[in-house]
Amino acid sequence: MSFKDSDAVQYKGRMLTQHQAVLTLIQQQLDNPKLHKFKWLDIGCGRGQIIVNLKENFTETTRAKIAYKGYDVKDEFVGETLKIANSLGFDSCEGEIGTINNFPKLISDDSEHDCITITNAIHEFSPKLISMVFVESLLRLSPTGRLFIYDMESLPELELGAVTWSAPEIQEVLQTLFKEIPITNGYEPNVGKWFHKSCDAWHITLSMEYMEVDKTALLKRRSAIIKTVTSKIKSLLKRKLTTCKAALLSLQEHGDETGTENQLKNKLLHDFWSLTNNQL
Amino acid sequence: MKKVYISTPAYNYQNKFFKILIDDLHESSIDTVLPFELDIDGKYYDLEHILKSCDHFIADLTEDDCNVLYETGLAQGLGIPIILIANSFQDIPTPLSNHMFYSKNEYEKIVKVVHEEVRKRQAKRKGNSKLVTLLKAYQKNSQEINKISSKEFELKIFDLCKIKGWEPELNKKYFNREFDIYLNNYKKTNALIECKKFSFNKKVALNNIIEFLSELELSKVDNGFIITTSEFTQSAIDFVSKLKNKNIELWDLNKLEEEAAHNNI
Repeated sequence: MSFKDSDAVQYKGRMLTQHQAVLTLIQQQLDNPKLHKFKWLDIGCGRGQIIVNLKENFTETTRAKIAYKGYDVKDEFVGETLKIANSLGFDSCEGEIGTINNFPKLISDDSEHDCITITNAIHEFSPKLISMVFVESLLRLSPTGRLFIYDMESLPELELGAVTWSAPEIQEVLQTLFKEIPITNGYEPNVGKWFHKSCDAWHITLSMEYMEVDKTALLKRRSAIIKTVTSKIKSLLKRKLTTCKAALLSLQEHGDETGTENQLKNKLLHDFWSLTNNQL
Repeated sequence: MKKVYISTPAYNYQNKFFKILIDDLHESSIDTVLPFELDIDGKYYDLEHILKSCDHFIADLTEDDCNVLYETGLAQGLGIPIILIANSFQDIPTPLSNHMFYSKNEYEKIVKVVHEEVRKRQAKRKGNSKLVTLLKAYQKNSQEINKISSKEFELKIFDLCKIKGWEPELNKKYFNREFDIYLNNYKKTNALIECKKFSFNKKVALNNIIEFLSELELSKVDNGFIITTSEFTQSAIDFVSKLKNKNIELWDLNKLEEEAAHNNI
């Protein structure tokens, strides 16, 4: 399973904070006067929700630097995204249609992106592919490139099969990834926590410059790193399932006393199904 | 820490009177707040917050300085005890005309009054700040809990942990995540404390426990406490009782009151 059937949403005229955060991050890089071309890979681009309000955020000159590539499983989504991208005066726009497990084949590891964004998509990926997405994304960044990942800790509208992750869990994954690469210069990026009205979320920004990692060495160790991080994800999944089962039993025995416990019960029931079917 | 705010034009701090006064106060372990030290590169500082932390306010009204008058008015509004230094009654603003004032020649009297007022203020603060008193008042009137902020509640719990010899640390960071209180010496190991200053009608639910459990897992700490001014749901209590690898203690209002009373905090 990968890039599950998601209901990508697009709000013209309304910018979600996570998308604004991406644009702020990109703006910092685009402001560099020495930068003439900015390669941006948008994984899980959906209906182009990040770029739909770009005209209001970046000037024509700034937009002209951007070489944009939208990547999603649905051709209609990629089509919609490209339609928007083509109207923005980018340096170039491309679309890539495919499941996430084809990421290493569809996007060459020779490519060097200044930014890779993955917003609201991690929960759609099969847990066994997450470590691959992390490592392969890093391999496709330029020496100053950045990887921005954002996702929800719980979904406002529950999706059967989706596996969501909490900020501390992602921090644990990141710890394992950094230990395995290894990153030894003290760089410890924070997994940020977001508090929205309808859900909580997390984000990370990984900078190749701060990681000071030798790409050739990373290429050589690619499989070993993916294997170790997957093993960590496997243990996390097991732990999540144990917690989920225990919490459901407590709720079954004593009932839900608060609104949040009522919501939690529904979430746990969905999680139980997803976690049982996604154990590695 | 005992603290006195000294309000006088900046050029006066080097005067003999203030130099001696500041040295004397420091010798008596009374810290001094001098406004010119706060105004670094014109950066904004929260005067109200600073004044609230002071036990006493010394206003030098001998120079008719607008900053001194502003600070004095604010201190008066905030209920900070004030001592006025003036040459004559004419120096005193009308709203403060019922205050005693002293001339700079009355140094001994000034110092005596300052010490006495600081002592009174400290005693008042200590009395008001007892956790057990607050919790008892809260049992009778739910609004009482609003008298302290969540941060202040954390500080009370921190003090309690200190008395219990658990060597607490406030807001310790681990991999950029911040915990309310980290214990360095709980049953010869470490522990985390999560403080929940909730009102009666808001119980600590299973969600809060699961969230805290993630933090324990991330930090590789096996012991934890969730301390609240409210209660826990039955599901939360049941879930915690069945945990195998982690030990989470749940302190509700009754348990907290018992601990606060026992430790006289």
